[in-house]
Amino acid sequence: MELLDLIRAGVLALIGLVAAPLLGRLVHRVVLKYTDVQRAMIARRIVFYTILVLTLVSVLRELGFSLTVLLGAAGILSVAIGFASQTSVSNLISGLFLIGEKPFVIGDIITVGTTTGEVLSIDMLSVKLRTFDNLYVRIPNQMLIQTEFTNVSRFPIRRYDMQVSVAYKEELTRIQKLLFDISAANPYALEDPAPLVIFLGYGESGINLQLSVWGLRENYLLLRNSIASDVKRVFDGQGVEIPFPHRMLVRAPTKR
Amino acid sequence: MLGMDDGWWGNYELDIGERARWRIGPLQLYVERRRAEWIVHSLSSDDSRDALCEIEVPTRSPLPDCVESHRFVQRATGGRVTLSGRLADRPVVIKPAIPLSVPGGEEVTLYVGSPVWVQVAVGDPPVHLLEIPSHRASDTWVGPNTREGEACYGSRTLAQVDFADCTIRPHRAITEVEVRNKAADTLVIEQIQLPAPLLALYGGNGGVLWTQSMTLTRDHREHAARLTIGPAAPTTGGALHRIGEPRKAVEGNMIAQVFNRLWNF
Repeated sequence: MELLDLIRAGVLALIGLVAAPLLGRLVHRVVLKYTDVQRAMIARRIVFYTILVLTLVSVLRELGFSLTVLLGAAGILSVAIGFASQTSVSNLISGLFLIGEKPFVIGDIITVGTTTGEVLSIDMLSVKLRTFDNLYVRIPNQMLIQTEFTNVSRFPIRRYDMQVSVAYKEELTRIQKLLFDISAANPYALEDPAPLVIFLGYGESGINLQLSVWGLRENYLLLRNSIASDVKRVFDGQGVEIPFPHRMLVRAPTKR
Repeated sequence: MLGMDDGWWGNYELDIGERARWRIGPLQLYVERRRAEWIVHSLSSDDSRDALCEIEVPTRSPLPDCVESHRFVQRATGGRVTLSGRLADRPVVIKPAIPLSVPGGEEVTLYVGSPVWVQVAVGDPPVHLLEIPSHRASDTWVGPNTREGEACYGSRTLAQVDFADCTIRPHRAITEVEVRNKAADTLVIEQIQLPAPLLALYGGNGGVLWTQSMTLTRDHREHAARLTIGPAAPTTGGALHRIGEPRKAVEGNMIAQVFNRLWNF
């Protein structure tokens, strides 16, 4: 190996290391104009890693390594690695399905099992979430393909179902009207789709009803909190009793 | 100092340490001038039918509880405060309190109201400080289903046919809508989607706010009606001053397409 080969290999490596991130960023910017963040990120990674691999191959060739031998060794190695990394490959393929199916995009809020958070990135092996209490959660792609998850922010409006119970003495038509009036007065409750009051059943302590109101996705928490306080305020003002379970304590007779 | 046309909008002068108060229907607005800062306090009630309009410049009345305050700092404050208005930042879906029918061949003029946003600017030339809705209008959704559509504000109206019957409220602008039903069958107007962000706001005598007039035409055998925005404010309002610009510009021939979709029957 001559000094010239070494210099040539060094220059190639330098060019590759500089070009890979630069071209990656350029492709990211161009792709972003025509598609979403997720696809732009994937395009950037593909460009970045392709240039890195090509640089490595060129450098090795300049250093005098035979590519045929290297590819043969890589073939045997890939079988060994394949067996050892079944889970990773499965995650990788699941990742491709997720990107193709696009059940969520970066920035969406999803619930997987008991975890709810904002999607930070959809990578080849896993999806990264930021929960509302600011924790970083990594979910393997394979798990997302196999289990049920909910995309909370997919549609622009959401319905909030509030369960409310009233005493048996209350007249249902009056309660229904009060609940509709409360929804109409709440600015976060959509007028259309119209709110619903659903009879759920005669409960242990009172009549169980459900008030279903629609709100804009971004106002969901405001709607949820305000409608609950509105119901309590109006019911208190109108003398409507919200029942709660009564417990009777009977003292056991003391032994003499 | 009074606002223009006896309305709340216009220019006012404040000395350092003074405070001004405006009551614009459900909105109470206070602007306080200090040497190097302006403080804007606001408080809005839920009563959208409130028709009270009061102007006290300067005022000695104390600030009510629960006001929302914003501070704006400047190297040195000028004495001028300018109040102006704008229409809503989303379309407003106006539902007549009682469903309205226009028989075939009839032409009528309806007067409908929509909420106004108050803009506060200071100095000369005016520097915009903030914009406050006169009251939090109710949200609503217009679209073919719960997945596609547009967020709008909802508003109830009596849709009067005589301007003299309209209740003038300082926080609501009146839109004159000319309805032309050229078809043979009856046109039932259940709701009107007013493209508020595309409309300019005008102030008139007696503190009445107006928007550009609109025409709704339903041609023969057409199921939908076509809506066009008039070039200026209606003549019913007398001499009017333009006090607020549209939020969005209408692009040429877009009007017909947009409003065919925006009006619902």
